[in-house]
Amino acid sequence: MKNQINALLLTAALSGLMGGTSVAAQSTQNHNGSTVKAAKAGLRYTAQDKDTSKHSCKGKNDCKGQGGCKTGDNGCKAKNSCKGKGGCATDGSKPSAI
Amino acid sequence: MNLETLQRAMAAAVMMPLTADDAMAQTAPDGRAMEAVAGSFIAPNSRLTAFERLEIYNRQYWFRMLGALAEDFPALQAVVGARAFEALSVAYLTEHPSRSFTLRNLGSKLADWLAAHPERGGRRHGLAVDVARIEWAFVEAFDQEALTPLTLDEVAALSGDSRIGLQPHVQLMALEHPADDLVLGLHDRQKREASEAGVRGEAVPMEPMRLPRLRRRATWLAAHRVEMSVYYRRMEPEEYRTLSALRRGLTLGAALEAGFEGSKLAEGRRPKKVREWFATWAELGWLCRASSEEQPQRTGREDE
Repeated sequence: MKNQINALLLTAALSGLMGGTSVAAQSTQNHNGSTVKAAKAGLRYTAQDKDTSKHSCKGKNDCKGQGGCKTGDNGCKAKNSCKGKGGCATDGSKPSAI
Repeated sequence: MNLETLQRAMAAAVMMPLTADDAMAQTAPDGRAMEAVAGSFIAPNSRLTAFERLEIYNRQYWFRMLGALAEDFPALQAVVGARAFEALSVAYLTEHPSRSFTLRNLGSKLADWLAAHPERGGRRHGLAVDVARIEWAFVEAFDQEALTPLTLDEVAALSGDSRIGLQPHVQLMALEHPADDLVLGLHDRQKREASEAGVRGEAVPMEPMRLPRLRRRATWLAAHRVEMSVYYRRMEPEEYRTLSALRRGLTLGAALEAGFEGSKLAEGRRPKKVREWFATWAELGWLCRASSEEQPQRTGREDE
């Protein structure tokens, strides 16, 4: 009995996989893949728009000299702008209190 | 003092926690006066003592680390409060200082660390842990790798003994609270306030927030990426368990068995559910070839 149920589940899984993969392939061909996916994707995280540039430079080094990326404190590095001021933060949060 | 000794001494001093008023501590962990420690490898200049020169880097390190962590966990900050968030950040970073070339990884252990430190989460500790998991899942879902999804030919060759991989950007979470709406709402609010403050040329307000009451209710969630957007999708427990089993490297047959272990879902309804789940996962491109070294994912409590 248990084997029979497992066989039914496996058949269902494989038929779902085949159907879903076909839909994905067709929507890619019809250039509406994003629309189809978004409908089933769940709740979109909308607040990410402002963070895209920050996240896209995480782990890369293309933000050197921009001073706003976490990968390194390139904003004040080697500029001496923080000498004598007791700290340098590119987001401006802490130094204001100094 | 050779270069390695100098670098280690400098790193130890720079990563030493600040005092309550954001100054460098007067005494090193080994009991020596920091004035003497600084003087052993930094020369004073005409304006600053060795202590003051080292203090600049000590403060800069902590402001940078705290700012980076706060940027990735704004909803956690709202749940525990700004002051408690800063205290827990200092405690966490003291135990888990930055070890990577990128600060992207700074918060990777925060949710697990917070789960093990209930004294840091306040009276809503369970909710705080869930919120930290959801926020970290965003970071992972945003920039983890996307592999080529299974093709029709590959699907046609599958059997119950086959192993299927799960896209690295798909993050599975088992939570104690339905906290996804709360996190998304807080992030939206933060975005709005930052934008309004930017227009007025003001700093982003850090006022305490009144949060809605959120009752404890087991919730299963996946964070994943479609094109360049991150989505959060709720799941049924059996769906979550099946996906977790696939990620652990179980065969398709074994994953289905693990998915329904202890399930109260009527057996007659299961095949339809399974067909729908696998179709959705395939449409979203979640499934790919299994790697030879499937590793358990650390996001969420997959062993629940």
